[in-house]
Amino acid sequence: MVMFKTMFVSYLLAALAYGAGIGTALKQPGKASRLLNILGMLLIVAGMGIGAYMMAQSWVETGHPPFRTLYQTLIFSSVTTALVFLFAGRKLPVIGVSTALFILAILTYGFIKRDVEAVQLPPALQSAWFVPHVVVYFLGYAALFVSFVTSILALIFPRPKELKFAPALGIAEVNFPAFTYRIIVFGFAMISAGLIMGALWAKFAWGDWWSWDPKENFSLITWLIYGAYLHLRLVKGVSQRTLAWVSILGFLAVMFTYLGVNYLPSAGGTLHSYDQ
Amino acid sequence: MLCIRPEQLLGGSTVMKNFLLSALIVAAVIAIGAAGGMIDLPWLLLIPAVALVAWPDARRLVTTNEFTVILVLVLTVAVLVGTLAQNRPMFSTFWFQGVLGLVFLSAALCLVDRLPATRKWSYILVHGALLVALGGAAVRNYGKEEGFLHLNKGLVANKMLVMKDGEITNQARDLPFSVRMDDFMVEFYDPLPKVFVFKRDVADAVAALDVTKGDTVTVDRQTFKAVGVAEETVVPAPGHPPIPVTAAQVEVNGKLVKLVEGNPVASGDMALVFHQLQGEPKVFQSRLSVLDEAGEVIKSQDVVVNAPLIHDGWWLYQANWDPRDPTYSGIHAVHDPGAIPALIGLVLLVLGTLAKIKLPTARKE
Repeated sequence: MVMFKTMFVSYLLAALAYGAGIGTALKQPGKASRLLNILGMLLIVAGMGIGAYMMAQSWVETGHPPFRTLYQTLIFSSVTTALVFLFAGRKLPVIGVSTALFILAILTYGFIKRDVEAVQLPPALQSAWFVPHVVVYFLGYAALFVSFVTSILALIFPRPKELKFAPALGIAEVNFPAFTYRIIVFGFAMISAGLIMGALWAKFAWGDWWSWDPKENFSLITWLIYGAYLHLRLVKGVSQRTLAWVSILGFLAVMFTYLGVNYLPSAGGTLHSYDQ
Repeated sequence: MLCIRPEQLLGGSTVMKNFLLSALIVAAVIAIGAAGGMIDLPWLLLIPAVALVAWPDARRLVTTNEFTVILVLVLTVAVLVGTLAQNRPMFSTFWFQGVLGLVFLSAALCLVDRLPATRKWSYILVHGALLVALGGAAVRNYGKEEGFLHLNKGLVANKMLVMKDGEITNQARDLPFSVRMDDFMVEFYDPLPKVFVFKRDVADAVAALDVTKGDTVTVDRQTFKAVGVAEETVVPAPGHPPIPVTAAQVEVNGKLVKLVEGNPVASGDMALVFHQLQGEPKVFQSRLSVLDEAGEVIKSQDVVVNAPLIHDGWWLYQANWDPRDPTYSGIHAVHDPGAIPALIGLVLLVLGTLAKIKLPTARKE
């Protein structure tokens, strides 16, 4: 629990550092705000490192990948979210504070749902597909989280260049629609790979590559929403606001697929439910 | 030839007209599929398919992004409703198959009609992959056979019980070969020693301590710390020789208490119970041999979950075991001629989406 608490505090401090950095920049942009933003980023790196260490430790202790329980995947989700932020959003303090807050929400949920047992891996999960299937999905989810944030920003600040405080938020030079599109393409490719690895795995484990299982169906719904986004973007006259809303809807579908499906009455029939 | 342009039917912008006409086409296909389902004439769906291919304006509409958006929207809503309503058979209905057929038709026409203008690998791969995958899915829907074999060690079977919608029926069907079960084994994980904390007037345990992990928990200002498991002896009755038992050692507020399995020990208004939970199966594995008509062994393999035996288009899966019969093994047999094309299509789909990636950096945008 000590590691978990340290990680939580690290992300909490990251959120505060980014928040203070943005606040300082709004008053007087300068060295202080830049330092606070760097501190925020370093704290996210620290949190990510602790999360990765916890996962590695669990892997060594149990002898299997630490993706069995919801708690374990939530820890992994915090690591991938931080990782994608570092690759794609580190230059935007506003994405930094969003990432830290999102991870805090994930970890809080993880604390509530923390597992008591993660030692035994059932035969169906003893597959070479297990790790790549989970890893690409969570990278995809993390990328789609960034697109969710940039879509909200695009709705709030349709013309960031005209805003007086845009430089403070680091959004003055950002073309949110174009950035959102590119991060969605990455996320879409990842969730496509995850979906298809899952199908291949299912064929080898259960005899059918698609069984209309609730989790499969919601993964498909998520995939279809982002598929609609990619096509809608090419339709003449469709506004950036509409696209931003579709992107937001897509991420809500991601979250429901990940966490909400477990609460469906039909979840008992799914082959994908987490141990909790 | 009858040639009505979408623009002639509706006023307003072309995009809006395309959306509305697309919705009409999808609705018409759903209606025809539903009607075909009611009168058991699935081939009715060929009528709109032929019309969409032959009617130039409709064909052009089917390859637009507006049509794709409407189609994807309808598919999303249908999958959502089918999932929330727990209506799995809905996905086999003719109208739903008709919607999937429209996806196939649209992807095919996009490739044929737009290929000369589109030379992007990702576009070709994704749309081509959809064709292959949906083609495989269609073959699966009409050509898949599956069944179940209840085998015991040494038993040879050349028939399976047919499975429908995931359920085993009483109908037997011949297999094109015989299967012999040479051996079967189940390996379990070690038992899990746990101490459960119960409170007065609360039916369920309020806490569970994993003894191997040395868990600590505090309930109502009492602290319980699991220390470990030890082999002890107890004398069940005066004069009775001591018998060996497994006991959990727990510190209750710093004082060591030994808990014999199943014997509750009171602590204030709480009670502690030690149980060794049965470990889950780690591996269950059958040694299967496929025999020809003369009884000669063609192939032998250890079959475990995730590693089926594949022979002559049939996949034999380790599916079940019986804790009361250590020689029993349940084998799931599947023959799906559409699986390989479908899986190839899905892999191509991933390659197509990966081909579109350009790693973003916020500043450059």
